[in-house]
Amino acid sequence: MNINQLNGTLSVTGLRELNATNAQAFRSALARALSRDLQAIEIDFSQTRAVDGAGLGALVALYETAKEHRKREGFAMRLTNPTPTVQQMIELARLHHLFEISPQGSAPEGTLPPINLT
Amino acid sequence: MKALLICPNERAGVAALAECVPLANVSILGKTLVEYWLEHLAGLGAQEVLILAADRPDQVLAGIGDGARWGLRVILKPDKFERTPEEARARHQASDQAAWLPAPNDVILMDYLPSLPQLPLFTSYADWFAAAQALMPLALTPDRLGVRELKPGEWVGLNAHVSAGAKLIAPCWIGERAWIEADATIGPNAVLEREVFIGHGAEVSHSVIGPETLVGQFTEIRNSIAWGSTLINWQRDSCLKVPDSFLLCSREPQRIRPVSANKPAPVHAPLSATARFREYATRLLT
Repeated sequence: MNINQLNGTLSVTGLRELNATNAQAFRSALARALSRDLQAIEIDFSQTRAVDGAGLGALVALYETAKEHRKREGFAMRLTNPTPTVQQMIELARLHHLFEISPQGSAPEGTLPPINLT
Repeated sequence: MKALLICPNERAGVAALAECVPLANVSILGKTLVEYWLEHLAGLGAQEVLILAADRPDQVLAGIGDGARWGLRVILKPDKFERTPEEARARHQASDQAAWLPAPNDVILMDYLPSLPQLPLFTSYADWFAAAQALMPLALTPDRLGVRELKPGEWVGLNAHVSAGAKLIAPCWIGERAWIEADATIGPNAVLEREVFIGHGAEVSHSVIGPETLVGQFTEIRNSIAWGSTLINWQRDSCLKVPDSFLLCSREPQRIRPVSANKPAPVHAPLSATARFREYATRLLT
């Protein structure tokens, strides 16, 4: 898993699975990388083959932590290029209402517009 | 009068569904495909029906017994592969002197419903879903005991439980002994087969939920066929085995049998799992 930060966007790539085996490590690694000027988290799911409830829970926890970091300023979390089965899991748990989902082949370029949570 | 039914073998278009259950035994609005056909043949005057089954014939036989339910004598013959109607005629009808139903009802490949011959069932998940939807307004036949149409387009089966806070949106079909918890939303275009459990706050629309399936609290099932832990998106043609039983699973292992024939016991999801999901779903929704 690779974590990069550029222009206020924290990008995660190379995630092969997000389940009970690595959910805690994933959450801790990203929580450590959060900064005050963070505007968005973008997680690339193109290589992710397995996601379970623990993995989804880690995403929610990360979102809550990042939102807390940003207090009242805008913040967005985007899940990009999920495989069809990963997208099914996300939709089953209703996380597509919470996160932005960019299906495969439709990820726009550039930084994300922040969402005002106030 | 005799007739012959050919059970469909595996079909690439609905492979995941065929893994769950032999296609002849797929439940559609409370009856299996083979049951619809036996009813139909009995109505046409058949007295004896030969069934050829290549896929899990033991399960097909267990579902229909000897055919006495329909006033028929049913003989099931395991076969090595799925035959075409022409092959089956040549093999089983040509040397038989008994009277057969007139063609095309003498030999039938069960890949459509008797009342919807224009809709193929097993070419794709979308076709299967479309056939189930098309059958809904035709399904309330006099032989279905206890099914009520609560409002136009909202059918509820015998001993089904719909909690006061649950919302039904027509058209929807609630199978017998289904259990829907409060704040769940069912429909539009939703079919719950028998003994489905829908958890608190879950939403099911444009979908079919297979028999004895538990849909976890606060989940959302849309454009899908859920059968046990198998979740098929019929629009995108993708299939997932859901790893978490608190989201979606077969109820069979945790099944609680009714305490009496008149008053079925409520069926509950595993407590630890629902508690876990409730906690994280509540966080999502607040």
